[in-house]
Amino acid sequence: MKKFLLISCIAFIFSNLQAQEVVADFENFDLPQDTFLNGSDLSGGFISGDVFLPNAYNADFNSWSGWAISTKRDTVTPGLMNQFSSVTGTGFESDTYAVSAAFGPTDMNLQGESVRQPIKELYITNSTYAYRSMLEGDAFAKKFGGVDGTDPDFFVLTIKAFRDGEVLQDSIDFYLADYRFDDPADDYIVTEWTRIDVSQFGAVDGLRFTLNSSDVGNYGMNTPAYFCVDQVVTNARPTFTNQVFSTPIQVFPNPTTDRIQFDWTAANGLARVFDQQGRLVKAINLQHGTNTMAVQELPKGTYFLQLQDEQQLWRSTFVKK
Amino acid sequence: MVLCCSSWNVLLAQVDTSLTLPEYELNATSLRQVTTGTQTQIWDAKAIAHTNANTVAELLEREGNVYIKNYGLGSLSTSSIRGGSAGQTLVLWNGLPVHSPMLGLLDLSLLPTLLMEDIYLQKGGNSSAWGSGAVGGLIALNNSSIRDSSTSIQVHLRGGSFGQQQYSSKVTLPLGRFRLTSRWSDQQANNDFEFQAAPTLPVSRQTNARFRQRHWLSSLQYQLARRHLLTFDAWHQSAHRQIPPTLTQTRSEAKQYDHANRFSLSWQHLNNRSKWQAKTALFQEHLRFSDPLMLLIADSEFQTWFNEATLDQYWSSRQRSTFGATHSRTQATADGYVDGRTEQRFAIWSLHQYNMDRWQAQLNIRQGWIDGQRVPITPSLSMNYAVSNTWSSTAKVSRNYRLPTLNDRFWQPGGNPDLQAEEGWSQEIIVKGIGEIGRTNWQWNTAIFNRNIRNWILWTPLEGQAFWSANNIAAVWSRGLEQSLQLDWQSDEDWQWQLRFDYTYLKSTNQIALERPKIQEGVQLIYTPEHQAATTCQLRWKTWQVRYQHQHTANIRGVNDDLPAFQTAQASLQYTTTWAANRIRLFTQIYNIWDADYLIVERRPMPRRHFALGIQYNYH
Repeated sequence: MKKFLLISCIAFIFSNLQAQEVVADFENFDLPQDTFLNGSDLSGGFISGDVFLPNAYNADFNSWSGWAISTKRDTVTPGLMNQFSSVTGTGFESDTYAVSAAFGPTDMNLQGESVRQPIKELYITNSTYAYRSMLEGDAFAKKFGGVDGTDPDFFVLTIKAFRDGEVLQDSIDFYLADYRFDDPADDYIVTEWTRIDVSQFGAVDGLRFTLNSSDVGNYGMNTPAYFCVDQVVTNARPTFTNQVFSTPIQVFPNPTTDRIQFDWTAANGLARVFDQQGRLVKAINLQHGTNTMAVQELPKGTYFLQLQDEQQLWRSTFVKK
Repeated sequence: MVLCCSSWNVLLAQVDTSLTLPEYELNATSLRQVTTGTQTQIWDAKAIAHTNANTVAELLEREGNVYIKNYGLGSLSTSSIRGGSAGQTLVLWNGLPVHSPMLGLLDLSLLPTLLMEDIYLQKGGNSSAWGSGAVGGLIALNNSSIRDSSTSIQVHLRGGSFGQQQYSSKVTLPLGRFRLTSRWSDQQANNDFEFQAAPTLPVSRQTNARFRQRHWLSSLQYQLARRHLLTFDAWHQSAHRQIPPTLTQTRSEAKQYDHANRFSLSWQHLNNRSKWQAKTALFQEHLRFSDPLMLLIADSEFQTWFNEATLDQYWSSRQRSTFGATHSRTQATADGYVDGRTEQRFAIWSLHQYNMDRWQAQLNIRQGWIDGQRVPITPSLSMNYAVSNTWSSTAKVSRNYRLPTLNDRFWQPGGNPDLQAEEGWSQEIIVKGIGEIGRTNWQWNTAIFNRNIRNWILWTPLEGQAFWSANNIAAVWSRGLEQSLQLDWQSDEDWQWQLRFDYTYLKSTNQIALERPKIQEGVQLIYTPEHQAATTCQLRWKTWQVRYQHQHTANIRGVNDDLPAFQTAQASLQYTTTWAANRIRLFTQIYNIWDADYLIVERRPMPRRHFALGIQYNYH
């Protein structure tokens, strides 16, 4: 208890609680115009602000899924060859934006101080590839509205949040195209960056995006499974400008091969482990006393351990051998 | 004349005929082509002309009761025989597989019937004789089996709706020990037919659907010695084709260019009891798909070198065998391959036929290798029993397979070098009857078949996978019935009529429930009609012939939607006049005579009623 009070005092004395917004605008990649990053450097993803966008690149097949970063401006060319362009030809008030090839549920992970914090908003629009396909049809997918323009077609992006590895029930449906109106004049395909308020999810570890279309065949969705994201505003937790680093928490053994232990003096809290790319790789709830975290499944390397309760935050590192 | 061959009598007649032909003609019908117990239809040049079928696809659809998956006038056409995929129909040109080793299929709309001297259709598996791909059936195109060595000239002109124009010609010249036969064909069409995509919409006109295809096919035969014949065949083909938009696509500027050169050199030697044949061939093909809208140009090309040697041995009047070895080496390049790919195939095979009065039996066995890996040994056993002079029955059990194509193995992304061959066993029973009732000749043919194929290869986007990939994920059980009845009646020399009924019942179901494609266990395969029926009525009076054909195709499961059943009908009228060595045939044809609105492939419109007329001149 004495130890906890000491830490609390140090934190209180040397810290200055300060909430701040962190914006992921993807401009940090300094991409020249009309270029893209599709993960071919096998980095595994892209970090901007406090957002990590995973990328899966298959070097054997030169194929990618998940996320890419782009400055492509082609709003005219239909088809897969133009898969990295947004329908606006730019990002939201910027040049650079993220493109998702969401063939299945696709995650956006928070990192750093924004972990387990609410995400305020993000901007979404169609890719040129999906937009042109819905507008004009292609060899595989139908033009929306169908043959006579009356089919009640839709292309919807469902956003869910996850926390502690569990997907929350709440969801937001954002229609990238909607042809279900009684008056066909109301039918639309999104062609502008649209702000989506996602703060309703509360504190989260990230968002999960899923695309669905009315144009589905035996082989799955025909509409190209692409959308674009920009300007993700996360709320970094009230940070400690003078944080208490490492010293109060002893992690042992360190280096380790299978588990780490540390003492936790508060009633409860949360322990999270991040890899060097800032990805959350493990999380457990803390209990008062000595806590053990199994890490044998983690790849070798240096990891960041972050312990926190409602008021305070500690950080340490450990090495997995 | 359409021949249905599976009885010993017919076969024996052919064998005898070939053996007693002058030395010049060594093209005895191979045991491979008339395997006992196989449902075979043969159209010779005369029969092809009578049908007025323009392409092989049209011929098989109308005369063979084969389901042709036709993407529209002038567009891609592939076959599905007995529930097999397009790649499970083997297409041969003069005995060599002519389908693309990259795609595993051949576009049957690119094959004008007038190029060929005869066309065989075999339904059912025959991998033991022909190897990979002969699972559902076999289409054999022959241009060298010319029965007549005299000088002849043929010119064929045809025009029709939607800017259709066709010119083809054939010249046969005997020049001492040489015989040269050359064929040219040049056809084009705008295919800008009108259609109404939905009842509430105005009539539209098809766009971006023009095509032009040209062929030059020559055969030079040289009689080396009394019993030796050398044959050189060359076939040049080029096709430019626009790819029209679907019904749910506002525009298309896609086009495809197919270019092929095929050369074959064969040597035949006939002894009293044997026939040797050695063949070498080189096939080169280049395909370019381009879409200016998508800024896409995709090239692929391959070159295959074949070598084959066969020996037909007639042990006695009761026994006959064929032995053979075949080798092929394919080099292929494509944008989807990291580097050029090479594939080598080798196979040895033997066929034995034994005849005992009313019985005939045939045993085939084949062993193949692909890139040094052994493929399943492939046997077949068939029996024929002549119940009476009228009725005969045959039974056949065979193992059949299709090797993965080069794209299946190497295309990136999605190609899988570890794919297994599609393979399985087939059984079929055929009952045939032929007889007379008064002035009416009748032919009855019933075939019942059963086939199980496992390791069926499907390209599919697996869950969460960013690309389509080839996987051995399906097992297909196909079974069904094929029934035909033909009646020929002749009142006197002037009047003849013919009536033919064809019906096919086909149940072809996937036996493994799949998520992608979404197929429940036991559900009919897509683009596989359960019922097909056709009636053909033909009347001849003196030199006039009128023909009417009505076809019914049951509803079909598509990739996205189910397609309703449809009926189409064709009628033709032709007049033939002959003087001295000259013959002129005038013909006209009405397609889709009842103006049916139908789809064969979803979202691909088909033309309403349309016409063709033409003239054919023969000097013989």
